[in-house]
Amino acid sequence: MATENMQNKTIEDAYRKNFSVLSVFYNLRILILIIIAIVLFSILSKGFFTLQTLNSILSLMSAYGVIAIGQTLVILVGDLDLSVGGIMSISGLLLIKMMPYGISAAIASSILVGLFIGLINGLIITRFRVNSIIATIGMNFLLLGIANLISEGTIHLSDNPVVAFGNSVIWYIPFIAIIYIALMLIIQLILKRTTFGIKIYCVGANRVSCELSGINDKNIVLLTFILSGLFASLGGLLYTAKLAAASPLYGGDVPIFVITAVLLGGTTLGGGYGDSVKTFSGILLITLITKGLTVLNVAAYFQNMIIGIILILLLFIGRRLTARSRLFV
Amino acid sequence: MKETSQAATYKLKRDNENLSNLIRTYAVWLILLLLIVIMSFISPVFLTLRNFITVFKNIGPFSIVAVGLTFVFLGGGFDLSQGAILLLTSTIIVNLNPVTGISFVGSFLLCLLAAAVIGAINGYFIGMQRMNAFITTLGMRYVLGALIYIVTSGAVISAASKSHILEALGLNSVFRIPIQTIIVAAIIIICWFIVRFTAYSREVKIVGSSLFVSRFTGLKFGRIQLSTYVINAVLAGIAGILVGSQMSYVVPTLTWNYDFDAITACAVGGISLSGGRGSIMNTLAGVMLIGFINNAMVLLGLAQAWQSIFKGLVLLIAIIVDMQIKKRYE
Repeated sequence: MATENMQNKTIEDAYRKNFSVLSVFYNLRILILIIIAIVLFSILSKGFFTLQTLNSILSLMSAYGVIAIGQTLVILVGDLDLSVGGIMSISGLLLIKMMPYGISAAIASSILVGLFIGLINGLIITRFRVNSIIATIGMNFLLLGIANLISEGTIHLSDNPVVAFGNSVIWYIPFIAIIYIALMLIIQLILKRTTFGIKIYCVGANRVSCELSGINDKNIVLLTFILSGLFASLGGLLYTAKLAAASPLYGGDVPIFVITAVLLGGTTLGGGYGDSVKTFSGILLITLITKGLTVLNVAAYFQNMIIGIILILLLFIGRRLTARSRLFV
Repeated sequence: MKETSQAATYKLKRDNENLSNLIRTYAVWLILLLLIVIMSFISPVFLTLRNFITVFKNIGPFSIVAVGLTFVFLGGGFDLSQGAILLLTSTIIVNLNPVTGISFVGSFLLCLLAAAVIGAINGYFIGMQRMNAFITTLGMRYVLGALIYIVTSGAVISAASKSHILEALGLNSVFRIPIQTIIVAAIIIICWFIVRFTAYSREVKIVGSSLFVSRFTGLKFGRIQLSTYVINAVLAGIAGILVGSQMSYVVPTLTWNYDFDAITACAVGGISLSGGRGSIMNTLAGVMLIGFINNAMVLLGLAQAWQSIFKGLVLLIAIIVDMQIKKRYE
């Protein structure tokens, strides 16, 4: 009894020590970084703090943002989906290739293909208990190959309502950004206010206890992979609608980029913590840095380096802060 | 009575485990053999010394990367930065000699030093600070991308003026066997010996299979994981030097998917991503399977797209079969 009390006291002490000014700042880290980035770029370049920049940042981030929503769900249950690049490529290519058969057929086919690939991913991972990283890497190789078979190079789309839609704006805010933000808010509501959302957090936090409390964890994981496929194909649609072109190469670096955005936002690998608004802030920060440095004529590699350093540093600081509160690290 | 039945159960369990390990170890070799037999009937060029030398020369750098990754996987880690390390050392070795006049040996040592430092940084964050391996190496990949940019200034480097030793390393052969392949074979044998026979590899496997156990047995798990990252980075660096010696020019974004290929090879060979299980021979089988599949695709005249499709299919089938065998016997 005495030892238990002592232990509780030590843990309390540790928590009190942990509740420092630094940890408050750490919890608001992305917001602070976004504000710093905006202020810094506004000072450094005259043309940055304008509505035009708002417009371009929103249209840059929305296609990848939609894919990142699905990735967030998959990471929340403790898995990873590295096949989103392949799904995005295929859905964009299908949209253009199916256009002669009508717009609705084209859109339906590219969304259905995303759902189908997500279903296969989920079935492989849940029914055979395969590691999701390897399974989706294999799927990505497969899909990029199929994308190359559909078209060897870039194909274009001109004079089409889809392209008009992808490039239209309401007062400097692009339509595709409105779609992205709406989807993000819907997923946020689902995560925080429905039993399905709570089950996602539960499965991510502890699969065994979920199984014991009667939640069908396999079906939850399967559903998140289907949703990830759906969002990846929607992202491909938006990307193609904005660029009016599709290529098997467009999906190459997307999985890595999207996972970076999700992790930067604060969603943890291993599952159970995070949401889609966090991912929104992560992708906003990356796009701000990219856009600001592009205006300042800094090469793309250095933009990536800054993102990489921020990623490692934030993780390192978080690790130091939590290490103090954990007695057994 | 009870004790004997218990002993019998244990024995049965152990036998089953041995059997499952046996099947898992040799399944990849069997598939490889099957592929070779089928291909020798289909294509007359396949079963020739020249073709085999080509295959082994092609998979050389890639097999070293995969062997390095095996160490990291055995220690329960994960690495996404080897592709970038490979690209970095290949650009350094091609660039340094003509630009600054440093001798080949000097630039070779500098490459290895750079790789080792990068591996040590990875290992410090992951092993000592217990940071997530995926995120750390992802960040490192971005940072290395910028370093490569600094070395190359973003342009395609022509290796027209590379040193004689480097050129010999890329082109010359002894008794028709390329020097590269001999070096690769030597490295693989050394790594095989380390994993098979040394106490160090046991320690790595213990750390990989359970951090908890390794902590209570008094192993310095942080340092051991750090050492696996250093080994991995140095091997990726050597692979980069070999790539640099083969190429007549280096494109800054040439080899980004070396790491995914290496993960594929390890997974096909049956190396567990959760750590503690696997051997160099298995990785080698995975590498050779992918190398021969690519070769078969080229000989059959199929497009690049089909290589990617078959690579994905083989990976998916391999992991599913692996899990089925595991489920059945354990």
